[in-house]
Amino acid sequence: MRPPLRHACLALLLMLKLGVAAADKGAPLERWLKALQPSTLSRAEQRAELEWFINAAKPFRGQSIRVVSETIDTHKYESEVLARAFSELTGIRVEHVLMPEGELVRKIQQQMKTGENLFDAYVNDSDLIGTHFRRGKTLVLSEWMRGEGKAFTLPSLNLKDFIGLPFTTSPDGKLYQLPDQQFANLYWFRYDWFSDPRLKARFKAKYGYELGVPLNWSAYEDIAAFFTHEVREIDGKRVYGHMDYGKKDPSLGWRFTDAWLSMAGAASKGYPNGLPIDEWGIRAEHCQPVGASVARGGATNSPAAVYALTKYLDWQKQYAPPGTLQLDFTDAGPVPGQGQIAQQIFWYTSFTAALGKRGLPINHADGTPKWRVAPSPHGAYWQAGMQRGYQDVGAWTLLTSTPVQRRKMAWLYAQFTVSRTVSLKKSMVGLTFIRDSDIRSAAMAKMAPRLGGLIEFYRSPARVSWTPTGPNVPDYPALAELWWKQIGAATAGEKSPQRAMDDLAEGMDTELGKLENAGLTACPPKLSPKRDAEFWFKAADGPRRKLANEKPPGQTIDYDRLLRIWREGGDSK
Amino acid sequence: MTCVGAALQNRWRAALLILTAALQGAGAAHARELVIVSETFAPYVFEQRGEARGFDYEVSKAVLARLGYTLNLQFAPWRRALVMAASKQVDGVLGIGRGNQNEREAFLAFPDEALSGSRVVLFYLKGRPFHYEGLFSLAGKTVGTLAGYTYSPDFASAPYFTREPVDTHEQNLRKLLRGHIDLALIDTAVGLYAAQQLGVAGEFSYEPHMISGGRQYIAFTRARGHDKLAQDFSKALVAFKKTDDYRAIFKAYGIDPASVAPPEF
Repeated sequence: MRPPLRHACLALLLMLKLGVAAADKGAPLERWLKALQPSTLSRAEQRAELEWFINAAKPFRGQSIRVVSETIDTHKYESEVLARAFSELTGIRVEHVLMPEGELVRKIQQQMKTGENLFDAYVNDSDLIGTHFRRGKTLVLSEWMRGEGKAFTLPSLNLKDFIGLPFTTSPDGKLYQLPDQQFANLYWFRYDWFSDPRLKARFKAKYGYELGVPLNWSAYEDIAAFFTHEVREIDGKRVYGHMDYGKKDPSLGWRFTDAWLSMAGAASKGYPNGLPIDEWGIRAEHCQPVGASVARGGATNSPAAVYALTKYLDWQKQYAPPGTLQLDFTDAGPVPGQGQIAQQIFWYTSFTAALGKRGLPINHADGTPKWRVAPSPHGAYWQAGMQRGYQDVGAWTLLTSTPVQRRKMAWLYAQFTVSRTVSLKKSMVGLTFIRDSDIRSAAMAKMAPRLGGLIEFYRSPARVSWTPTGPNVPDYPALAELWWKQIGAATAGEKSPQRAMDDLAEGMDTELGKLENAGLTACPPKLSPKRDAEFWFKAADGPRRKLANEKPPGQTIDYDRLLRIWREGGDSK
Repeated sequence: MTCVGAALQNRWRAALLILTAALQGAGAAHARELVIVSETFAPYVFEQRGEARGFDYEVSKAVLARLGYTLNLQFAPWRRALVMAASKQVDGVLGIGRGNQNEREAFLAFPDEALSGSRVVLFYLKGRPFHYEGLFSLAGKTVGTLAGYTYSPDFASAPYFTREPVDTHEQNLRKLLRGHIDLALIDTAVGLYAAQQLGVAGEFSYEPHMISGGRQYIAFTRARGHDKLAQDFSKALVAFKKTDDYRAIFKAYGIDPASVAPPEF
């Protein structure tokens, strides 16, 4: 989950202009065929897809639908170009509304609760999969496509081409959402500075190991201290070894629920989010959440979770530019582009387009980046087999409360926006890839040198180890609300890290308790009795007790070696 | 070229191959022997009447001969083969990948050039057709896998279908025939070859969508000082892939080298 970007991409606007200009002349089908280039389909295959949409939509000509998604470049393109294309081709008018993610989550929650049809379809993050399969208010797409929706399901949709499908599938194997845009959270760093022989020598002389991509938080911290306190200036400009944000608003919650505790090592081993304890610290037994506090076998207030919050606070105070605790996600996002940041441990790839602009001091004159992306390092509690990082899929979600005829129209539009006819062009605009065919296309290979390793990441089999909020979270909207308030109290200095996490864990337990009898249709929470913390620290699958040493020796890896892992890893034998 | 011309050329080529093999055999008297372990992975590498065979084996043998080595191939189940390599009991492993995170590079030296590529797909009985749409389409099914293989974590951990590991690919095909499993996850070339050998090729079909796979190498044990050998092997393999000898090996197995070429990144 992450908030909107306010920064309209110049490239996007230019492409929109060109696309609209190209679409202004001739019959709609011919015009849009011309505008929707490039594509991984041949022109004849594109034409066949568009003709299928035109025919399938005939019963609905002249009607209109209203759909909603968050405010990011990908959805701007959809609302301004693809909605118009679909309307001109099919005669179904589309109002594609954009709003901040937090507001969107409240709308879908409201429709689920009241049954009032606020929107005909939502692009909703797969973080809510645990909510969808428990609430019983969301259309099961795998059943819809075989049943009522069959005649309106694009024969060439090619579901297996979608890279995010496992994230939108519930634990009982039902597909709830159709991926529309996808992004990951990675480590961002200045490859040019990390490759500078003088800086490398200085770092090695002080810390005794190579300056490189940090594999653990100790190395990240050393590198942060090195740039902020040792290097201090590069080319006459003050530089910093860390960047983050901490303003008390909903985006602060996502800074933590987007797997920060897992990255510290608070969760259990196990794919995708840790079993029995997930990245929110929720313990689940046989799919039923039983508690988040250590007293109930969870880890939200475990030593590892407190360590995660403490490091987050300390690094901002000691190594980040002044004032980051007063910034929200949107304010903080463009800061690395100003050229003063050496590394950022928690960086959403949805910022790639914004940081790829020519003229920024972080890019060379030819447009190639001075920066790269890499896997984020892990904390002292992390062990192999735990969640490696976060990625999420914004996915088309239909609710059962939407009248079936409107649902059919919305389903047609949803498929149109992710069809192979349009998806490569859309991917080039928003860089939020959803299809394997797009990632492996010649067009993407051509763009790859400008994207700092993003394409290499998406082509790598390692990609699947970055996962969204898992199915343990039974009511994402209600539980997410607790996080930013408690973390915010810590960033504001109102509570110590331990106190903030204790209060958060207690709030989570209370909320899980309320959900026990809230009429969930599958895997409802069932709070386990409280026990002494020592009981759980001794349990083989319980939260881990505090480590005697939370700063093991720093470890780094050469970026080029890491890139080779992405390129060559993933064999089955 | 006329048929007669082609036949003559083929005879000359055969004679040349025999001569080359004889020279390599003579050289082998002084060559150092490498003990390499592999699982049976026909037609890449397998045993027939006590003799090692397979295109990856023959290519490796030919390239090593050019470098002055003989190849003594031993067969073991895959899990055992990995243990033998990790515990330095052998000089290397044939038909191995680098591991999901290239972790096997810690104890094995890999040539840059791969021998071949594996494309692992879902086999099913023609009488019980199956259409793969994504992992969710496996819901409720039992899929035969191979013990010791590393599968993508989303496949390996999905809670809505069952994975049943066995020791050999043939076992999986037999289980499929008996209806004990719904699908078998097998390399395309291996599955087709094994079905042919079992005389049941007409019974099976497969979904062409690649579930996993990657490049396959001959990798050498680092603890035995074979890092340089890996580099030399890589260069020699690149050169050998351009020769008629290389193409002749694949022709003998009726396989187009392109169908088992290492996949591009």
